[in-house]
Amino acid sequence: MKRRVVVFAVLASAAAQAQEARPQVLREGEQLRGRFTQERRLQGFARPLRSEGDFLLVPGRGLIWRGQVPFASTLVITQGGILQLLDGREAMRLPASRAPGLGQFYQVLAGAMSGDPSNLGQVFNVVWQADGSHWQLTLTPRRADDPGLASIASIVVSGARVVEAVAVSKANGDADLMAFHDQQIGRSAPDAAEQALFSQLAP
Amino acid sequence: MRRWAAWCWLAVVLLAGGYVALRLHAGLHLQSSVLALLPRAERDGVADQAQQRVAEAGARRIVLLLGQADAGRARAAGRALAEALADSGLVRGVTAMVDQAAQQRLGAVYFPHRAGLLAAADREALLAGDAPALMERARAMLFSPAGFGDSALLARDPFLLLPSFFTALPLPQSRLAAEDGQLVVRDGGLTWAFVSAELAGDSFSLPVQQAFEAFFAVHLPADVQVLRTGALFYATAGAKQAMGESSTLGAVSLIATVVMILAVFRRIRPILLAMLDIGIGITVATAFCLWWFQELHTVALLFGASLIGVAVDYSLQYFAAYFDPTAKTATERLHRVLPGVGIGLGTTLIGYCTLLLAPFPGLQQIAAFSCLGLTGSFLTVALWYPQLDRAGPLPHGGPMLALLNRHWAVWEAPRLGHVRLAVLALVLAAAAAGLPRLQADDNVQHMQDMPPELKRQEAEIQRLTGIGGAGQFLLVRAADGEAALQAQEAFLPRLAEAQANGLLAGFQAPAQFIPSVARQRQNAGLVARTLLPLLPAYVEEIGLTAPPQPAPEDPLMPAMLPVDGPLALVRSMVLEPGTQLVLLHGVADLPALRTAMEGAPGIQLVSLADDWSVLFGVYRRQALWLLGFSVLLMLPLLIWRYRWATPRVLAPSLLAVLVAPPIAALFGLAFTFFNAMALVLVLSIGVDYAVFCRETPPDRRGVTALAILLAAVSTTLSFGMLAASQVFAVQAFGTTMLIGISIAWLLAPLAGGRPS
Repeated sequence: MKRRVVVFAVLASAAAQAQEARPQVLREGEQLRGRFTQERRLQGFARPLRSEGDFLLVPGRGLIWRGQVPFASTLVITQGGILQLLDGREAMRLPASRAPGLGQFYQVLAGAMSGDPSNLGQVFNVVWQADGSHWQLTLTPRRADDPGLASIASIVVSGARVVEAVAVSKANGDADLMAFHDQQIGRSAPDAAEQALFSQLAP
Repeated sequence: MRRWAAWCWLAVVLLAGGYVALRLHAGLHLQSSVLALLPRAERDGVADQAQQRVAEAGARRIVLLLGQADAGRARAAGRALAEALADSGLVRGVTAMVDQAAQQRLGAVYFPHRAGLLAAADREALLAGDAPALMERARAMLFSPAGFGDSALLARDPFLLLPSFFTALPLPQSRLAAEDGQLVVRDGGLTWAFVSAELAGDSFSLPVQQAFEAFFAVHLPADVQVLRTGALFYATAGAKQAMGESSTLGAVSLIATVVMILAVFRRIRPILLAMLDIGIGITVATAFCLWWFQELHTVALLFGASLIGVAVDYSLQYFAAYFDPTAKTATERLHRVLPGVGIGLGTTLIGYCTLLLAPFPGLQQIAAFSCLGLTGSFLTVALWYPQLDRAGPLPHGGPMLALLNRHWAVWEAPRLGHVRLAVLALVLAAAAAGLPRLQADDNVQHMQDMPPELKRQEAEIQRLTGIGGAGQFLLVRAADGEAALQAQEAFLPRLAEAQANGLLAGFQAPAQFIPSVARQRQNAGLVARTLLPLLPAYVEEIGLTAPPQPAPEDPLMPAMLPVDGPLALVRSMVLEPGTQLVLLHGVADLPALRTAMEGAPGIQLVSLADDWSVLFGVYRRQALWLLGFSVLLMLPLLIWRYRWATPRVLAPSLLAVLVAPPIAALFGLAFTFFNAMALVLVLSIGVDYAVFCRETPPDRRGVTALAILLAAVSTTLSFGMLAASQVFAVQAFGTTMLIGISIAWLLAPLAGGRPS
């Protein structure tokens, strides 16, 4: 789980990190909405686990990840931890104090949101490539024994104006691929239902 | 003969002094546990041990929160403080960060035994036939971006029941979030960094307190708000106040007493003799009590030393006789005062000895200590004063004695009848006015003086973190470990319901961490019955090809838990396999909780503060009963000596005892065990005054009046000054003494004098 959390740190930070290659940076009071498709390619599974849905990222508050296919589910990630809802009911709640990897996640997320990607460099070796309007970041953990990242071999983030894809490769051969589309950067506040989701995890 | 007795007494005193020195040298430990005050029959070794364990663990812990609007600054301040604490050598351990390694160890311990481990909510869901919900949860976790697992985990725990069990474990600090690996809590616009430490030394040791004072003066940054709690801070504040107060009050009363004696006698000798007298009383009493009880309770030492203070009255009787021109030598002076002092001692010993009848070790120690101390002081006066004192009568007492004769006149002159009536009416009116306001108070929290600012900080820390003093717990007793765990499993749902109803904020039970073997077997069976039938379809749906590896049937046993890390807590809750504690946090409604837990077999709700309060109530009532009883026991001696005048001898002190509590109530003071003890003193001192008066022939009235005035003033200076204390219990004691002694003194001549 920790690994997945880091993926989203990277997703969030990519917008900031890629500033020089002209991706748009999320500013204070802004939010990012979009749709995702996710594919988990896990060893010991007959086929990739595919899902799709939409997401909302609000700097300073957190991330809402709403799966629609193959089944409906809602995941909220904030400072306070992680909350999984099914049919609107709480199915799982993990406070940040129980998941040390979340701490690292927020360090990276906060750095990315403020437009300061320097935190990312503390944890990862960052290789930057740009090709015309497209850019690509390759991240490899600095320390092999970092408990939050132990099983991650590399993370590749790519995009143009905004981040478009994240690929996480694990040491055991598993890989998670996420693609984003229909991204919109808005200034309107999250709606009441979304606010309620965030506040359920308020620390 | 008398010389021989004096030498014998010296031998006893030297023996006693030597014994006390020996015990002091061996490291005398004063008993201070409340349980040592309980009747022996009611003492319970296991509950004792449990309370001590909880109290000691609590007493060593400190918790600080450093708050700042800037989260980074708060974290940096917290981290710096934690590092400085760890480097200071003052603490054994510091908690400020999430311990990742400990979390991983936790996983390693539980994983092999996962077959029988179910979170309470999951177990309920399965029992309610809601197995598909758990299957859907596992699927959502697998698909989510923060999802769990790879095939290796899913093959072993396809429904992710163990992560759910972990999440539900009531580990400490679970209300805290982790930011940057550091434990924090956010509230309003502030981020609070959490730092907790276990002291290496004793919170109540003065050097430890001073070392921490110095440490915090250097290491708490000025730009953060600080909240702190822990016995250390209360003890430091208490010690500071007690020292400041007792040194002020003590110095004032000592100086005033010395000045008074110097002014009256114009000699240094009375002071030296009185000090010798009291010193010997305390030494002899301490030696005997240490030998007899093998230990001495601080409460006994405190009250005992106060009660021995009465001994100075005997010396004062003797000193006042310096002004009796007919008593030329020490022996003659002694003969003049000996009857009064002897009867006084007799009644006082009767009064204190009744305390021996109570089955309470605390009262027994107080009684033994005071009786022996008084006897020792009396013997010193009777045997040594004639040897040590070669002085003749003092010539300068005339005007004083003439003045003090008027104290008698108030109660005897026929023309002052209206004054007497007015005084009595005033005293009774004040008592009547105070009577409706008189109420008992046994709450131990009122007895101790807790600085309100520290209490506020403690409440704030409890609100923010959920961490508070665990002064309350359930003691679970059963035949063995398995039975104790099963007993908890039987009542934990009730406790959870009480928590849902707001009776308490949370609890931690060993059975939550290690289910009983029976429960683990049930859980495994439940999973096999309800969830495993869903497995083939689920495996097919997610496409898992890795062959499932069923969890081995290998129940987790208490001995398998690691002794360090987060689970050290669990070990500390298991006193013996069959004796376990369930810690209760943030208890909001103790009586309701007691009712809710009533009838659960083998458990006992223990509340430290509550138990103190109950005990104070019992002691208060006992002291009052014994006070009344001691009056009865004094009667034979008084009747033998005074016949029909006995009511007159008793009247002043009885009146003082009856009116002092309602008059104290006028000042807003409640009636506590300490007031009851003050009344025991008022009675014995008051009877002494009356006896001294009654034993006085008309030509010595001025001398006796001087003696009881000096006695009343010195008693008031040493005890009555305590009315100015900030500490509630001390103030209650002092005020009652002040009022009672004043009235007993004022009315003493009512006892009348011996016909010439």
